[in-house]
Amino acid sequence: MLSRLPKCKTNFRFIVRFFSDKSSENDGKCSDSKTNPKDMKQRSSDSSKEKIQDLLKLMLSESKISEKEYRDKFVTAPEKPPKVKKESGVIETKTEKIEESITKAAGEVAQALGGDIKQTESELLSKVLGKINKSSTSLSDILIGMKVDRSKETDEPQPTRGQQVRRIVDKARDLPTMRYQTKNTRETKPWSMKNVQETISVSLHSNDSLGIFTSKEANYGTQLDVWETLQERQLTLATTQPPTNYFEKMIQWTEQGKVWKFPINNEQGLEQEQNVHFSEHVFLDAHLEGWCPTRGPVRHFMELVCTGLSKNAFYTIQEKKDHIMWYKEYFESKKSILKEVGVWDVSPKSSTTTT
Amino acid sequence: MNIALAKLVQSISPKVQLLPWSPITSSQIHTSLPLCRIVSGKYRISKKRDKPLTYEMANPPHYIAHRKTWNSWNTSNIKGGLRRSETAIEDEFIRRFMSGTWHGLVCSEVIIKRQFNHIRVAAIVRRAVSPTKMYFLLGYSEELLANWLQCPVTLELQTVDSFQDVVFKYI
Amino acid sequence: MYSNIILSRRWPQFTCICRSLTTVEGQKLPQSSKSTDGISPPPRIHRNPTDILQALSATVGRDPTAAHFKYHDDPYLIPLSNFRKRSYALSAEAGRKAAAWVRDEHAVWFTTREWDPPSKIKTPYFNADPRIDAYAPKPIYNDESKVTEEDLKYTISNALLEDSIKVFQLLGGTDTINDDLKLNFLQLLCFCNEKEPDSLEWLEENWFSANTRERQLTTWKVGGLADKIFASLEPKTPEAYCALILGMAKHYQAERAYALTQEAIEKGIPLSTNVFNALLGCVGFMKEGTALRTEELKKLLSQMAQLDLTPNDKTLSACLRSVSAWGSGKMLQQFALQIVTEFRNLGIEPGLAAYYHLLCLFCKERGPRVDILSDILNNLEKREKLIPKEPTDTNFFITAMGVCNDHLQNYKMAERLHALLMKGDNYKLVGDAYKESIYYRHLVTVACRHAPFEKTTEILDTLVPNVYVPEPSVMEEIIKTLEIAGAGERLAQAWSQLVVFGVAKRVKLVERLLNAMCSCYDHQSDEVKANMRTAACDILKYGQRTQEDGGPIATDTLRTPMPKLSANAVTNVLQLCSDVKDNAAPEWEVVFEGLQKLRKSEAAGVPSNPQTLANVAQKATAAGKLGVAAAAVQYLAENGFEEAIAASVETLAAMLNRPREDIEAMLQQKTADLDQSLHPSAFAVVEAYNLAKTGVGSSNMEASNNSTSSESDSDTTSDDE
Repeated sequence: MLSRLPKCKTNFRFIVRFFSDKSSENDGKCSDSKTNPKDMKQRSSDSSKEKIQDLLKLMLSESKISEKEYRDKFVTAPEKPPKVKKESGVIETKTEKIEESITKAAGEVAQALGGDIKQTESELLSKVLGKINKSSTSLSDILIGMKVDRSKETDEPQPTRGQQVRRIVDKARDLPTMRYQTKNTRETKPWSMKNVQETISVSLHSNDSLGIFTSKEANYGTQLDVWETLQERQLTLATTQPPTNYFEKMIQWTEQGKVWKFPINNEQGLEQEQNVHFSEHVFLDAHLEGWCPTRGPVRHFMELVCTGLSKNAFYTIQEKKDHIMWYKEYFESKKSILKEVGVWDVSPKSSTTTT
Repeated sequence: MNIALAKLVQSISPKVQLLPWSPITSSQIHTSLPLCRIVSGKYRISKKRDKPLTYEMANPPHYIAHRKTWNSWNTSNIKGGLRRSETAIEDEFIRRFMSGTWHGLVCSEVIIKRQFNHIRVAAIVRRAVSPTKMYFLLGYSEELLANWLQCPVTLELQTVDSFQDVVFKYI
Repeated sequence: MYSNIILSRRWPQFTCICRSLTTVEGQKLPQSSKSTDGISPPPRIHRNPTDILQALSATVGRDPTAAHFKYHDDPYLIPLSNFRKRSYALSAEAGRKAAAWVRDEHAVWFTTREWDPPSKIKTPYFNADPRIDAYAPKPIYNDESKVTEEDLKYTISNALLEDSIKVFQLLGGTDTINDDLKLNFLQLLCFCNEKEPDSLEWLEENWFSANTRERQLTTWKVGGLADKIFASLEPKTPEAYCALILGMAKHYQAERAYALTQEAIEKGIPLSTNVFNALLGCVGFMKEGTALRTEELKKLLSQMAQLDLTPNDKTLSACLRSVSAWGSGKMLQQFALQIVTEFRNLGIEPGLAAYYHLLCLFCKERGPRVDILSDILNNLEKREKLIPKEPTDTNFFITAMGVCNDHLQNYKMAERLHALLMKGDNYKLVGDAYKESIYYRHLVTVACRHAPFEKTTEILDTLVPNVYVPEPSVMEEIIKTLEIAGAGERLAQAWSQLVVFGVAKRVKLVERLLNAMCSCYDHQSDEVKANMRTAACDILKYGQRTQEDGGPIATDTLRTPMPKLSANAVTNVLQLCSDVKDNAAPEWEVVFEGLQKLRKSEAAGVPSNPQTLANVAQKATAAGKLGVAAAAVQYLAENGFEEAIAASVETLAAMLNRPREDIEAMLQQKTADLDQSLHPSAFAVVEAYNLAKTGVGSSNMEASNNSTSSESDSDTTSDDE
């Protein structure tokens, strides 16, 4: 057991490093942050230049912390089944290598550029590592998952309150993220896969056709009116949007018939009168011909009626005609009395006397 | 014209003028015109001088078109305008409808503007109810007024935090 | 008066002359531009009532800085979050509906004038002249209403299905109505399948009702009213057959539709292109397996050709719809391309719906990356105007943008597509609110991931918040982009956006933002740093504000309490806020509050990066805020962080202005002696040191702290073995 410890410990240290590198919810401690590029970035804000160089050296060289010291800091390091250890170790060394080389490269670039070396480097790192973290989400998740299980199994060492809380929180936090991520991996995986893939361009213009139809005269067969209008209606339903400005609102109102049509016309709503010539409205005497006596008081009365009607702007031509016809019927019905009184057939003689 | 008439009455019967000329004591034929510059459309000063007036109220009628404008904009009242009485009654209806529907919220005059057959109603309201309710009232009053007056109606509201914001002065 | 009777006798002739004269004079405007005297007025162009309005409206354009026109232009009434956009628009419409209900239920109130004489009051009075039908109350049909065939015609032409069924029953059912009307009624029934269609009147409802994707399910009501009416029609006209087949095929009653088609063909009844279009849409219901289905589709097409029916653009999209619904694979894709070529040879270009189906077929989520979109865009950009042909057209833009985002990951393409949507009045093709928001989600995401940063900000500035309010997931994407670009100013703004959009309570998002702010903080100018600090302070305060009072800021979004921020987030806030030299800066209060929060366990968990807190303590000491420094160190000690020891030594060294060695020596002394000689804050630090070192605090430590420290004690011992 004890003999196996050193090996697994180094492995575990890597893992821890890896975690703390990612949004670092795990047991990253101060010594750990020295080996950690992201933390280093943070540190660079408040510490001096030499610290960075120290860090870089540390990155490249082997960790110098003694095992004992290490144990002090990573209290939670428990035993774990060798299977897991092996797997995680392999993955870990790989990522570690990448990060190491990146950090080194960033440092070199920063040196080459001159100026504020510290800042350039940290900027470079923040960008690059952000990417790495994004792409390796699924990997780290697997590891996080393992970690959680283990901590549940071996809970022997008594942690501090902070560590306890942290562990519980981590558990609580990792589980949903795990779920979330597994859902996500489905989306992200093809995404990263596709990045490598080449895009196949497909043209819509192929020469190959089915050869069923030949162009002939258009014949769409039986037409259904109501069906067509309903389809039209559905289409407008799908494409109508609430008006986006005052004019569109006016258009909408015009189409609904709510607002007067432009250009404003006093005769709006009198469309049926549009085809009627004004003379028909004005010269109504023609309607007296044939039934009205040519002279005398009845004629006089009817001519006055016509004059009145000709000045009426509110009746339609049909209403005017109906009005005259009403008088016609009225006088016809009273014809006998009128004749008796002698006002229906007035002789021309008497008319000359009156004039 | 009314002034002329009043003068005519005076000249015919000079004995009537027992008191010195004053609009109230001497107007046997009472018309409001001689009073217009003095009483009508003006607000009485309160004892404690704490009566709030909006800008519109603070300016007496003879400042219309100088310092303030009309509350109803339409072409009915110009020479040869149509539907004078209808317009006046409709405007009154709209004002009452607004103050009733937006109960206790309207804190300015209701301005009514007519263009073709489109009526725009403007007012300042308090933010005493939630925006959602305000939108409901907006839609409701627009549609109901439109159906009553048989023409499209648009409400153009502005909101203020409290009635204090529209107070121009205290008298 | 009428002495010259001669003239009056000749009225007819006179009027006739008058009439001809006036016509000759030219009451009408010139119709041709030719005239003899060389002056040629242009011929009159007849304009529709809306033409001028349309021209004017085309000049207005879209103003991204203003809210949509449907919202009232007032600061109080402008919505800024998705929830409010929806609820405001729908409230207004609800008000309209209420008014319309009053009008329909109490129609009499609207058509009488109290002051009319009793004889006149009976006839309905309408204020408008000419009368406006849109404001007339809608008829209500119930068992008592007296109906005529006119009512049936009216209900059919207005697609009022339930009313028309009622009227139909009142009229006496199938027996008494003439065949023409019955046929029209049959068409309506077949189209709607006895389900009331959406009303055209309520635009907002249509706009916001998230139309779930049309399911291909057999919904046809067998033995319903439509079937009965068809049975009662004698002789059965081609129209009746077409209507019934169309209805069945539209609602995926495939087998009966096929059978009926066979019957019609055998009887020699002329069918129509529409019928075949509908049948092509449900080939998938008839056969299983790609090969059989392809064969069947080809068979139907050749049947069409035999019957001399001309295919149209809807035939094309129906074919492609079927093909795309059958899955994917090289063969189907090849087949789809063949169909497209076939129709191109006939002079039929694919419409938007057809392109939509092609995109569905070629751009599969897991399939290889296929760029068919650029060819489609080339084609569409050449067209002067995109005319919507069928409701499916509205799916094109959202799908194409989805392809740009997920499939091609190409911002250039997305830009082209967006330009196409913005051209002319193409925007109506965006569909409804739901589709619009998905479209913009894709656009913003692709811009965040694959566009240069300037482009991204440009897009964000134009779209957010009036056109589109980002959902939390998109917001996260935006924050990520801003973080990578190191745009501190925008990150500081992002917080206020979160608040305005009503997502400030999403702790995950807020934490993401704080992380981003921390990682960008160092490279910002002082001014921006100050802004970021203010934002960070506000984040911490926001949680408290929500807890304490509903406040004037929109009670509805704050109804639920803000969940706890995590300790990491609080630490981030502390890190940001402690970066002030000024002793009197308001940030220190926030820092202190944050520390209190941590100590009172009001934040979830413990910080993962305690070194930050140690730094905070140092900065606080440097700024002369001893209380803050002490609180930070105490917190570290109470939670058993190893940093506590180093931090307390450092802090004490700074506080007392002595070298570290002295301090360490001093700390070896008894605590009780120090009590008198030290500043209370410094003493607190000493206590913290002792707590961290030995796990045993001084007398005033709480019991709980004692227990935890003993735990940590045993922890270390066990590890030492």
